[in-house]
Amino acid sequence: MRHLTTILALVAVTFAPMSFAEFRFVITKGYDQATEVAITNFCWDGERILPEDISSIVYSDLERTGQFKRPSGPLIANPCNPEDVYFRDWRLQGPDYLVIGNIEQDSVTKKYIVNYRLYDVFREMNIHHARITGSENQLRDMAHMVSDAIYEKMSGVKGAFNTKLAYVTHNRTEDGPVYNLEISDADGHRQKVIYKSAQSIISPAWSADGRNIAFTTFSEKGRTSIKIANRITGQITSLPSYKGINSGAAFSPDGKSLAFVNSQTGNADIYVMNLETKKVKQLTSHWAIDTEPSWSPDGKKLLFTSERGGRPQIYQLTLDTGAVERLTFEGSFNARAHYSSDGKHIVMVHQSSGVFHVAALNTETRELKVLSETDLDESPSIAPNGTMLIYATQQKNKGVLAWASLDGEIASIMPAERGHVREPAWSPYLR
Amino acid sequence: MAKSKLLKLAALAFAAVLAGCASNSSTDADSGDTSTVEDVVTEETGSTGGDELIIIEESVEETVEEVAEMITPEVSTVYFDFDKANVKPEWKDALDAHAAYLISNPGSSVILEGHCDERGTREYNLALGERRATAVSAYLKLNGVATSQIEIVSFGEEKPVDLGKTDAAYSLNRRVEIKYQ
Amino acid sequence: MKPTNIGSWFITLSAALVGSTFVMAEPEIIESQPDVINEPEVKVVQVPVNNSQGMAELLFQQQQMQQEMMDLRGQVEELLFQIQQLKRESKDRYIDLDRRISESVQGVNQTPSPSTSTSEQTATGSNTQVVVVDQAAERTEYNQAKNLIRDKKYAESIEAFKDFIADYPESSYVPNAWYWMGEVYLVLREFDNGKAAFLKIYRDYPEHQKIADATFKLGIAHNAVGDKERSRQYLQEVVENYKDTQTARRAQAALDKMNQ
Repeated sequence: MRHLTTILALVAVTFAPMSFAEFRFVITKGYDQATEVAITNFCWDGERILPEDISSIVYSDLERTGQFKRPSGPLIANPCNPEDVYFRDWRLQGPDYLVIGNIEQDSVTKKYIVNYRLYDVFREMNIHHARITGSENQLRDMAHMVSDAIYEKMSGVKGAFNTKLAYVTHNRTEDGPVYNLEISDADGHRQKVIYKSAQSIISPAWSADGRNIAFTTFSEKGRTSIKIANRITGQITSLPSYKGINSGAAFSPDGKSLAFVNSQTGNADIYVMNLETKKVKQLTSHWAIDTEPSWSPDGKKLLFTSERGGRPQIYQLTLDTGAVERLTFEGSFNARAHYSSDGKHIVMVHQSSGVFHVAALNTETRELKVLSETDLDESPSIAPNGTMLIYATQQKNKGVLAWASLDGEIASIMPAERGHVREPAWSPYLR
Repeated sequence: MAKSKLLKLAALAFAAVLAGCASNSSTDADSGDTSTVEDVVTEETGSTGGDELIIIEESVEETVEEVAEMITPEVSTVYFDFDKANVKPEWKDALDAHAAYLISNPGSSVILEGHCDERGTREYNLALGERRATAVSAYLKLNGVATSQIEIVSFGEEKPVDLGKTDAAYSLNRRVEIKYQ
Repeated sequence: MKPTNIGSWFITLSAALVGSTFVMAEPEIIESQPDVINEPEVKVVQVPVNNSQGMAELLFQQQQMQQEMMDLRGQVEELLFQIQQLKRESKDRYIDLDRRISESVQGVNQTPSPSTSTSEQTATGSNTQVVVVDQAAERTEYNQAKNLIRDKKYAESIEAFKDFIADYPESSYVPNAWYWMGEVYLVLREFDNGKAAFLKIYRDYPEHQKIADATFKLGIAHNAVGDKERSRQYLQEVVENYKDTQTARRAQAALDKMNQ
């Protein structure tokens, strides 16, 4: 009987609309001078109430970055069209930017059309307008696209709101612990369970096209194996299980290879598998632990964690020469390193004075900056626009996710309603 | 009676010396309790000395082994220092007992489960737990346990026994569990 | 009785001895060992098949050595990194120093007065940053004024030097500025202004390196307006106070010419 439940738990791929964890956002540290943006309720003439409130989604997106805030009082007007915008009035209210929009539905295709405009209030200029079309279940995506566009116009940095997160939840139930690998929108909505297990799941990793997620599962006896889930079809494939540890999977930027950790030689080393030919090559062969491989944006180098120098530090392997170079010289523990997509920063878990923080290393100046004020931080993952990162930490003995900005100015906590959350991985730009 | 006893004592002495010098040219004065063996010798054997001695010792050894092979050793968890995977000498005796059991029960096998406390990253701890189990395995194999009798797995930081955040709690989680299959 | 016992004992002894000679190198040792009974029992029990004591030691040692090697490697890596950093810093400092020196050599014609300014820089420590920035601007303005002289824009250069003195009244180049102004005034034949300029240095900056030249020029200026008495005084002062200098020789030459 016990075996049966174990098998069921391991085999299932469920698309449960609700999972244990629902997210809230609590901003703990923000920019002193956030820019005020006013977003009107997008005008909608239809009879039924829209399932999604686009303005409120855009507000959340912008506020989550800590760089923007909404006006403190109610808006003085809710113009639907450009001719209804009176800048003198808006200047009285005080926002630097104004967003107006309207939504229509095509009676034939039933698709929704969102028209929006972004105004610079003081210059009294329309600095951006666009039109987005999509189906009803794409309304949230469309809202995130609005956020991406106006964020980029206002901050100069590409937005990362239309992205997803992968993470692991852990709940203790009457029948024992339950671990889920889940995907949600970057704002925590639309959670979907990809894989369920009675044993732990660790190290989710996105492929560069955002279609696949590799992750590590444990058997009851403790044997690890790597699986790949297709986000869209839900299909799960297993990699061959070699003797020893099978973990730490990382897709190469060109999608052709998968780096991973295996210990058949008696100690953990980095290997790489050609996903087409399935051929495996050993990349490190030192007797100390080598783990946590992570690709550089150009796919020519691999960051990894090694204790060959006495304590865990970050090293970099150049693939064609085989040269290994140590990168971290501060702190007694540095691990789980990832490059930002522009290659300018490496985020990692860093320990100094006994506390585990998330830190960012500037690859040019080699300066290390601690980004988080929380403790026992793990698994930092950078957003594809390189400005924000998400990581796992603990709050009151509960596993929670947290956000931080790469300049160390913003922080917020993302606790789940129930259970523990951990191992977040930010998706790349999708499509 | 006293005379024959003296004779046997002498014979015992020289045979003992022979045997002792055959295996080791230096003679140090180890003190041992000789009275019991002497009594056994005089009671059970004749006056030839040498061979009987070995027989007696072997039968004593057998008894020790018989006892060992009946039950699996009590101490089944070995603990480690922070971020270390070396077996500390204080666990030598416990591990010797496991080695003895496994050798005398060639059909038995163990899983060595490595574990860590929660500090650090999950992947690194997975590898560290495995290093700990490997260290215990190395010790057992050096003592004659067959590789086929040992399997190594690691749970990293995934299965703590103590969820506390104190040093004491952490030290209970840094362990290798020896589980007989 | 006794002889028989001794006899049989002797036989056993000889047999033992004979037998033992094949195995032992030093038969004498047996006879001198009274407690030899104890030792072999202990030896027989420890059959080498299970030599766990030795093995355990080996393993512990190997673990220690591995850890030691890893630590050493870590130290070497750190040392290499520190050396790289030191090299880079040293190079940066050299470049910066080189730049400062070449600028100050450029800034003043002959005698480098910025020796005072560089020592100011090093002395102020944390204020060095601010001082360097201002000095760059200061030097630029000074150099621009001088360039006007080179371009023979004499009137403009006077104005430029006046602006410079107004902008940077604490600058160590101020006496230099006065000196150049004096020179230009002499060229423009505005001797009174020239006198005034050189007098400024003579009075307010008696320790300045240009003092000898300023005094000499005071002599020349006074001669130019016909005040030979004062002219001689100044020239004589130069000859006496700044012996064995180029300026003293020039002053002497001028005196000689005047006395002809």
